[in-house]
Amino acid sequence: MRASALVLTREMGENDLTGPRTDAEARILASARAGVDRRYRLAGLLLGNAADAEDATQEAMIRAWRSAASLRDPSRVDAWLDGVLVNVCRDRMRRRKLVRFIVLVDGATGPARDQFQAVIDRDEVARAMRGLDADLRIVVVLHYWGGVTLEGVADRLGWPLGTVKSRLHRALREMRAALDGAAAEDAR
Amino acid sequence: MSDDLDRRVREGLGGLDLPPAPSSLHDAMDRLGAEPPGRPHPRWRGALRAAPVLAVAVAMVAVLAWGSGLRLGVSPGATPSASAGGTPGQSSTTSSTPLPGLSTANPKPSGSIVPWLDQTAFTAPSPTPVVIPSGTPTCLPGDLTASAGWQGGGGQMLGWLGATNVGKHPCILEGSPRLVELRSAKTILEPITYHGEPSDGSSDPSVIAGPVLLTPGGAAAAFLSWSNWCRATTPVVTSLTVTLPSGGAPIEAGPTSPGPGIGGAPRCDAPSAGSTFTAYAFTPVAPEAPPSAPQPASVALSVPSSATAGADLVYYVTLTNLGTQAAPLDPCPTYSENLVVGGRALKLPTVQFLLLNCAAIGPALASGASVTLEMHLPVPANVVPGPATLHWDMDPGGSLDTSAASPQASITIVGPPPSSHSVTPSPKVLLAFKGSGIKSSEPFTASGDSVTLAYTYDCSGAGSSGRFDATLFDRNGVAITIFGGSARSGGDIAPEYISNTAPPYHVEVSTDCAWAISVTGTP
Repeated sequence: MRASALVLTREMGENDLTGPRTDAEARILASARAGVDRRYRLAGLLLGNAADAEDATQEAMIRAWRSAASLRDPSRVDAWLDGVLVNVCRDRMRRRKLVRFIVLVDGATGPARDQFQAVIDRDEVARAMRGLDADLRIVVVLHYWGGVTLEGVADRLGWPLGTVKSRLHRALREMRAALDGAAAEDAR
Repeated sequence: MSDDLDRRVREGLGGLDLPPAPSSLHDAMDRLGAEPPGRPHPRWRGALRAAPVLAVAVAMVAVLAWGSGLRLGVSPGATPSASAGGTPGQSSTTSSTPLPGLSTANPKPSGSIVPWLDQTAFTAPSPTPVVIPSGTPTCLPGDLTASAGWQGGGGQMLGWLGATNVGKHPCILEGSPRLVELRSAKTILEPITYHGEPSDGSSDPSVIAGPVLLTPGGAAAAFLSWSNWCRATTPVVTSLTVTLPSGGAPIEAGPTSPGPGIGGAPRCDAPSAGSTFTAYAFTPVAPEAPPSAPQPASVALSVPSSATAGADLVYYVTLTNLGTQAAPLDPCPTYSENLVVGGRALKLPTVQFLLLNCAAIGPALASGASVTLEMHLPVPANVVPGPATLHWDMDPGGSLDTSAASPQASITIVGPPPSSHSVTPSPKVLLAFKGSGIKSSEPFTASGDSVTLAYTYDCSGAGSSGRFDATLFDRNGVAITIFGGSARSGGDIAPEYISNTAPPYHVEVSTDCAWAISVTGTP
């Protein structure tokens, strides 16, 4: 038991080589901490559940910290971190092909129900979005939820602007079909 | 119409009431700076990957951090309650050297020097075994009260069942508790497959845990893990019913800490598989140590100006207790040391917890007292000669608080003297791995202190600007290094230090790009 107890102490404790050493590193830490709620929500919208959102956000920030030297323009740290997070989420979405949404039985909403799933289930637009492929969903979430311009999306993801626009167009077309289908279902 | 949809999507998504990040994620961000930039913190990745032993550690963090009744504090110098680091409001004076006036050839300070102890907290002998008087009875259900708690860790729920002897006589607990049922309010959660483990879940699963003597008021705890809950509802468990290893009437365990219940349910990882609940053997819970505030301490390093690759770096550390009270050395506090060469630490932070030679120092370091300790740090033979930095610090949680600054000293690594007798084994290609997209390599073994990792990637055919990410893992899922880049193409070649990692290793690649990776070293 002693070994594990020590591991846990180290896990939560401090390394002996800690702390930011450059302006870029200081900005990464500051942005990661200040933006944790927003990035967690961004990851949750992309991945569809809280557990994956937490894992992805943490993984992304660790990756970013590891890659601190590659942040060439510290003034763009927020966009850079967003890009790292979206790429981590994109990898996860691609690995599982589809976001796993657990359908809850009516009236069976326990107190620990996943908060992202609950929110997405309640909103028809969010439900329509969850059927999109990873890259389409990323564009929709960044642009409409995150308020990022299409140029900003292109910048964050390193995609050509034309690609972003065409993906948004496809995403809206698919969402319209989903919303129309849902409306027709309701009308029956 | 398009504008209508545009507005509808904007308003729909913009109006979502999404939850804020959990406190665990905020805590993780607060810890983010606790690793040197440019090098991953292996345990974090390991924890994310839910390697079993690491998951145990994560769970212990979570449960112990509750600050509730259960405290498994048998770690030398690192009681869980003090693991958060320095005590607020306490100052710590730390000096960094090399000390002026010291000879390069002989940095040895004058006066009494405590010899080096080649022992980590992991290899230290166990505390003196508790002698169980013959005739001590087995604990009966009526002798005990129980409580339980767990939290999420890598998709599982991990926690503890605690048992306290409320009787008037000592008794013995041996083995793992047996699950009878989990309840969420009045609902029994099922089906759940129970599995009992004879080990205590801490490290080596082949070691069967021994009996635990519970004196009146004494406590024991059994580690619990619950995985793969795929039912439609996600319950909060409000009670846990078990029988003792020796059987008898069931005991109901309530929540360890105030709140809605014992804990939540695990993630659904495999819908076609069942839900599994594992209970490990009871293990003793150390009695609550009397509160002892860490004493601020200064550190002075006395190091030679150079160290030879392939030889021990011998240096000296002088610790001075600047506090107003004696700093007890039982449990013996631990320290960490590291040589940083070319921006890379030679040791992984996971394998520190080096023990001071407390037996030679005495039971405590008195207020105002100093002690000088000899230290040996093996310098790998294949370290590139050049400037390096030696870092040394007490681990947090011990009785000596050196958290205000990290003592360090500059040193130059020089190559080993040429020898006509030594034969260095020629490196071999241990892994040649190329392809495109997401792939995982076959396992490979390596020995020695390091391997050379080389990679190239080409994202020009990926359609968008590429991103190449790959991770070198050891057997336990600990990420030794994460490497890659986000350029159109690129590559690198660098040594990766694998001391104290566990082979076999493998590489996982996550990218759209084409890539080639090779690992060379000693098989």
